[in-house]
Amino acid sequence: MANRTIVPFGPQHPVLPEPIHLDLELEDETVMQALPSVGYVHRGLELLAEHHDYLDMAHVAERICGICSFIHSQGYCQTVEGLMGLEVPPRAVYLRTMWAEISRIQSHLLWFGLVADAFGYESLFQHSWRIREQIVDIIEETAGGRVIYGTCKVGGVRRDVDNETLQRIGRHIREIEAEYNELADIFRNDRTIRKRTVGIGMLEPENAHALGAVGPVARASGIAFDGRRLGYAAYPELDWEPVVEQAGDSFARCEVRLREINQSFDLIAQCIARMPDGEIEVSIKGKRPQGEVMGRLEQPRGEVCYYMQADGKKNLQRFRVRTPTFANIAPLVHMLKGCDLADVPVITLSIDPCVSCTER
Amino acid sequence: MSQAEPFNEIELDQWVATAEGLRADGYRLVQMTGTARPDHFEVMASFDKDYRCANYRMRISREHPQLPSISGIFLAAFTYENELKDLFGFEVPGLAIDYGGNFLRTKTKIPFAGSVTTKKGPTTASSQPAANPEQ
Repeated sequence: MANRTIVPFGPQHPVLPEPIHLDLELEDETVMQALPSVGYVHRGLELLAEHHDYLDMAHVAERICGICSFIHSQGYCQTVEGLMGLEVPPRAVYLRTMWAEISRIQSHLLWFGLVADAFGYESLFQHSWRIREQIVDIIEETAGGRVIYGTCKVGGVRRDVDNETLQRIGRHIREIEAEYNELADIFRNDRTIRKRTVGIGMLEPENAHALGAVGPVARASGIAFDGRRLGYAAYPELDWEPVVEQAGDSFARCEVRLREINQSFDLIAQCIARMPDGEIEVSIKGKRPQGEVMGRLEQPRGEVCYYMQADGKKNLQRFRVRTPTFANIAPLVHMLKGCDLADVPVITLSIDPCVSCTER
Repeated sequence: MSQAEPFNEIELDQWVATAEGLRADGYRLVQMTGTARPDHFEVMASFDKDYRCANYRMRISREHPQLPSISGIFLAAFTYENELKDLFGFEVPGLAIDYGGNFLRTKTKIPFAGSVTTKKGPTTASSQPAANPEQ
């Protein structure tokens, strides 16, 4: 008779940069059930919105997560602008789009470093982060910060980037992309990486849909949903298609992110080439958010939702963020069922869990 | 993008049938949100199809906070329903995977059962947000 045991995985684990806990119910070395629990570092940021000025909350929203920082501030500001009926100037829209794609690249490269480290590939981890460092340098040059951009504000952006700098960045990202392509080849072709990801952590298309998977997790299972198709920012004016893979395994999730990095380089180049001239913000004097709205965007990890209610006062009545990692917990539980204990770290990493977002 | 997507008010007894209809139409569960109002709880759920969200809102009584589970229809609902159970103290009959109040590790059990997410109405000492920074 098989031996049943429960093995705790996390909240502190070498492959987990942030605390999440899984109780793994094992039969010999096969996972029969995974029970997740979260809440170790919950900060209650949503509640702050009910007590603080809605303009100040843009700074708090950006600090929900250090990796998804810009897109959180973009999402917050866009949703508030939806409540206020504001139209942001085109240059601000393009700058936001450019920063969002820079953010996507650094997030995916951070993930590649972490997953290389989980495989025991220290040098690959360091090369991933060496390339990421060049992206972070661009963030610093254009925004002033390396983690928190601080550029997005209700009504536009706080900081412009001159056209000469933009052109130089446009040339530089192509050099970075050439370096990145060499790195991507290793992730695609390394025998050990393939052996540990191909066919591991399967998520079939019907289960991805039923379990509400989002982002690269859903797109690696053949679901062509990309929140950037919702029509926000400059995406409707740019040439791109969602990156979709069909296999539904950990390798496919890796492949989606690999291709999305190339796509983001291309989107940045398009933003720079088409950058409109003009103002970077509109006046919001005398206006306050009123009504109820659900805003959605595509973060590096998938669709993020911002629900807001406001009654024309300086603070919001209700602010709720549904993060992509929270949506991907249910698919993760499904992927882990029936896997080997040794595959749990890689499968867990394959959803790119962001606990900081989840513990907003 | 903040699209003009309506919020449809439905009765609690229409909730499961509404979810079944949405599932049959190919919708995906996007999110479920709870809010504590002075005299009731509110649950708002969103479903997506073809990049459009259908939002539904219903009232839950404070005396008997019970929300029928839709996890048998949308399995993805089990995380949201466990969250609602842990934060607002809802009973969720039919919950497919029930963590028994242990999904979210909160220092205070059922922290949002008070009026912490409302600005108006009576508050009690135990429901003051400042008294419990863990919320």
